[in-house]
Amino acid sequence: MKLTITDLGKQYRSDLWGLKNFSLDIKPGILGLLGPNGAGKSTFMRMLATITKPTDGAILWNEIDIVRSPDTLRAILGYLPQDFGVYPNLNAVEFLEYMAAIKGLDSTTAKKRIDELLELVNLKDAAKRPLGGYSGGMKQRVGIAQALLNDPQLLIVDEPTVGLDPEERVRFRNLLSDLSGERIVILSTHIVSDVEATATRIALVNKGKLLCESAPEDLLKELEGKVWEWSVSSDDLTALKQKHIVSGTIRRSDGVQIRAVSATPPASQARGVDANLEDAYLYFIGGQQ
Amino acid sequence: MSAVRVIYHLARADFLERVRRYSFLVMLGLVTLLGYQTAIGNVRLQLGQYRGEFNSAWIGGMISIITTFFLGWFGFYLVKGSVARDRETGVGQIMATTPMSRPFYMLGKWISNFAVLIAMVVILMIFGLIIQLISSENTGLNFNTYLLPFVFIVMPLMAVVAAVAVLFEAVPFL
Repeated sequence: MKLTITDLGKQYRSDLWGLKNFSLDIKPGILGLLGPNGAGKSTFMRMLATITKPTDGAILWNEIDIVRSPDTLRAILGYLPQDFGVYPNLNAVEFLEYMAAIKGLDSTTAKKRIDELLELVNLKDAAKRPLGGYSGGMKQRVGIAQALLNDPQLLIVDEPTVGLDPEERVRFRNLLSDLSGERIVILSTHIVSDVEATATRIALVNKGKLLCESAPEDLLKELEGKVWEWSVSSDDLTALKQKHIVSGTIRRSDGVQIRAVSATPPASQARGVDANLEDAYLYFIGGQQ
Repeated sequence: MSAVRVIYHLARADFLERVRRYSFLVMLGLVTLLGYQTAIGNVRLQLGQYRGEFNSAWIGGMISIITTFFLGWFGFYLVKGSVARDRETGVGQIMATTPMSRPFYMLGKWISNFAVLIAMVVILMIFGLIIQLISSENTGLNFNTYLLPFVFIVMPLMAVVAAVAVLFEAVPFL
């Protein structure tokens, strides 16, 4: 099972590329696609999901070109779009029956699978209520259930935790981790903690370009000796933010504790601390900007 | 992939989504009002000073012409919008990632449109039967003659209206 992306590009206007020279080899596990809003993540996801066609490059699923033969991938694809919508007057069972039919599942398999998935996403009790009355988190769970109906080998979820409360976000991350196993899961987000909790590989994207792709621990290794903490007065904070990549501030009675990424010690009293993914994200994305 | 199953579920989901909306209830109310106006004689088919006896054939013909006139004109506006709704809700994006073909999608939408229009036709048909029984000019119900105008006039027209509504949404310049 392998997804190979080679020199992928999407041009919207003569002077505007949504994505350019994007190459990646993806194997089973969770790939966290991390980048700011407008980085090109959704453009990439939509091309992978066969919704839009690339301007340049190739996407190969087990060596088969899915731009030319999209149905090869569609049969084993689960997709949860960023702006997932439902028919508000259908209930979860009716909606999933509908989705199962258009994904090509027969009636017996669909019924069994819908029961399992409603159990998995903890919606059994609300299964007969109209979807229009569901909370954002419940709708997202319906979304993940529909994406899993055909037991996909490739699962693409685009910004799945936007709009979820902290408890629902944690539940969703756990669900995603449980699902990964022997399938490729591509999780696109701008929320670092989502990726930190689930991803086995991380790809950082900005301005339509792939900045780096590696295991989270390798990404953190690159920041060894580059993350610092020290205290300053509140008045110095603005100037420091312009000078360094500040990844955190904590207000204290004697001033502000700063956390910043820098190749050299930014101040004489600064002490080195362990890096986290938020530092790495800011280092790579901030460095490019 | 079973074509019949795909088309059935597509049409079913779209139909259920529409008939559970308040706007559908409003439409049913208006059709019921039209049926009532026909029943009390405010809307009727008359040839000069003459009208036919209120038997199954005449009432079937009369209700068919009234239905054709009203639903033929306004039916398009009642049923259009199902493709746009898929686009707006984002459900269309998921559909685009499935192996379902475009002709199946269009056929499902057409059946759903047709079913919505037929639901209204059925209400008017029921009113027709009530008119015949209440007027007591000829209480012998003859379902064959009553239904024939619906089968040969109303249903084909509703099928065309349903198809035109899908066509207008599917072809960008329309």
